[in-house]
Amino acid sequence: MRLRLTDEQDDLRAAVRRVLDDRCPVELVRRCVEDPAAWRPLWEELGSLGWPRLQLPDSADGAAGGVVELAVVMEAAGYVALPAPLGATAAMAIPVALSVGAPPSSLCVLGDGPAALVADHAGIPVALMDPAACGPSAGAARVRDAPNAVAFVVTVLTPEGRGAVVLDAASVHVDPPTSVDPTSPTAAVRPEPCRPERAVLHGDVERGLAVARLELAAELVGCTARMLDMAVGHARDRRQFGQPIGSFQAVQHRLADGYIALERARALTYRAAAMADGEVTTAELAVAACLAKAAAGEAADSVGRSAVQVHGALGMTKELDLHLFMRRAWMLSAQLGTDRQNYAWAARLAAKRGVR
Amino acid sequence: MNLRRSEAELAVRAAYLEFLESFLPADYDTDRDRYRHDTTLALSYQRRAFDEGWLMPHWEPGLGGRGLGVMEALEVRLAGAERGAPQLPNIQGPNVVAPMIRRYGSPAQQARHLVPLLRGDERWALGMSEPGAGSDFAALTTRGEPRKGGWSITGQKIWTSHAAESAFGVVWCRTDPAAARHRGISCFIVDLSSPGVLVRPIAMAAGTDDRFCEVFFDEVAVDDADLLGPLHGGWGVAMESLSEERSMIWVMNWAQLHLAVTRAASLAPSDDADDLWPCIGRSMADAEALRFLGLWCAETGTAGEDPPAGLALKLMGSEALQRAWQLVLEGSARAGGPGPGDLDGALDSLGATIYGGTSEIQRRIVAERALGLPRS
Repeated sequence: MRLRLTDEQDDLRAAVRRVLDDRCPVELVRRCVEDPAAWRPLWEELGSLGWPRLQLPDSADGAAGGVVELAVVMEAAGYVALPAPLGATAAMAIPVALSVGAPPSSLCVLGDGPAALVADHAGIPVALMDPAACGPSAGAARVRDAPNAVAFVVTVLTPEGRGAVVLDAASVHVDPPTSVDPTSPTAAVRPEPCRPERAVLHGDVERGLAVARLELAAELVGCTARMLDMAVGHARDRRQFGQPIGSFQAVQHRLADGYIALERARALTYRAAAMADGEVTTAELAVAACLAKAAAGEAADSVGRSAVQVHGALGMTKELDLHLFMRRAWMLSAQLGTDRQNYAWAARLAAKRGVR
Repeated sequence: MNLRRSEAELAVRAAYLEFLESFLPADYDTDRDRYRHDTTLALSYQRRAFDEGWLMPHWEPGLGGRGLGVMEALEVRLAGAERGAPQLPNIQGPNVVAPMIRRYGSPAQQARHLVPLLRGDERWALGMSEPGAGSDFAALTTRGEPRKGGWSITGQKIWTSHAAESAFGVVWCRTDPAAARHRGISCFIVDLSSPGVLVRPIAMAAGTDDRFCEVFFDEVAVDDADLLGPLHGGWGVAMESLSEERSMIWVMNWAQLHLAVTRAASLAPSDDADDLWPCIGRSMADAEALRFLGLWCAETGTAGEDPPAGLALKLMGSEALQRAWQLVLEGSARAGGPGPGDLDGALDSLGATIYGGTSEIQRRIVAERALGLPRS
């Protein structure tokens, strides 16, 4: 057993942080709020570094990286509120495509991206779905990075079970974006009804969704760590009543609780990621991923609120970058089920399948 | 990362569980509520575990151990918690006092005290808190005054668990009144049957065996040889033992948390939309996170680092176990009323955020030492 990252994973973490510190300063995120095309040069660069293809096999020109490696990248991406569709492509669409054994030709298209995941039923675990819900895909609301995607992985439920299809942009209808986070816009997506049934790939979609879910958790953890750092930094610098506000216990206790929430979420996230790279059943992985996603969403929300509170009036301004991370956190929290939904799904899955 | 247990780890776990099954009475699982308060069973468990090297698995044979690594020893403790092994009757003895004596004790103190303590033949009390010194430990006023060949202790301790049944106590007192508050404290081993010691039990709200006591010291004579650790160096001994305690308390917390989560899950509602489900999930997350983070911190510790997350384990575990018992009360109330162990568990859980340093103090420790906020 080894719970810590390996030396190679630590090196990857350091390398990814170096690139993002250099290429993705917060000024770029701000610029992407105003200019909807400002993310493209960064995306080209990430593509040339091979990040979107991290998990893809050799046959699809990928690095065959593990789920833990991807989590390391996604946590770092969350820390800078990466304004490019890396999460939607590498951490949502591709894991589900891999779980249904999509052919290398499809994987290459997804790896070039941007790609998006259209999860029917908000990604509710298969075991908890109503079998009567089976029918053509109705699409999904709030599909992450749909406005920019050129390829879509759409989950479907057929009489043979849950599956997925890979569609191009011409085969889906994307509504105008409605997003709390303009740097990772979401929109409703409806597949065109004439989609050929034979294109459905059957496989362990639930496993793919579990990976997507825990990678969302990793991104949320990064986002939370950034907001906590901002709050702690402000609490050290800002003086009132002749002393730093971070010396007041009311402020200290709030931030200590934030630290607990963050470490709790991070532990659950890397636990789930390591489970995905190990030998566990899909049911065990699904429970672990739901717990991680719920904990990470909860941590991001509570730390974000604390960070605004600690900043006082400044926390409500556009000038302070905190809102960029808060927006990202709320957008991510709503993907593949809310926190309460994910907690409930985990508990029900565990009860149903006897998973501890 | 690799969560799979190695062959060696699996073998240790299996051997311990085999030992445990051979010890537990046949009706242990069906009559758990009675066995919960069976101190005779708990004591004989401690003895057997000592004899067979499962009490302190990472210590050497002869001291209740079998020379396992820190991680394997933790796995043994967690396996015991999961299986519901009896709780040691004098938990602070093996968990706090024994490591202190092993670290700071003279060869004579180690030879005299370690085995009877670990076997459970002699119980130990921890004399830290005083009426005027709770969270503010350095405010203690019990005095140690020099006398020929030793010291004379006068003062009062309170909230001292098990003192009435204990043979010995570890007592902190002020030996250098002129020094700064943290500097003039020393730690002594005191025979509680000595003349001048008066122990008065305090009635508890819950029907628990872990009774508090007041302990009065009236010119109690101790020898120089009874000093534990350096003269005037008692603050360091206390901090070391608290940090040791903090690194073990999470395992105890996890045992109670696991029990509560299992119970809460057994009260799971039939309606899929019931609002109890997300609460059960949240407590499941608490338990898994505590276990993972506790093991992660221990593993990181064996690699020679001291991760700041370790400072958060006690706070995380104690708050989580209270939430879980609160959930048991909610679930059982909806299911028609609490089961026999539910109220005991819930009442017991209230102490978790007080003993070993209150949650308020833990938050301050996290804020100052993990987050680097200025001292309050």
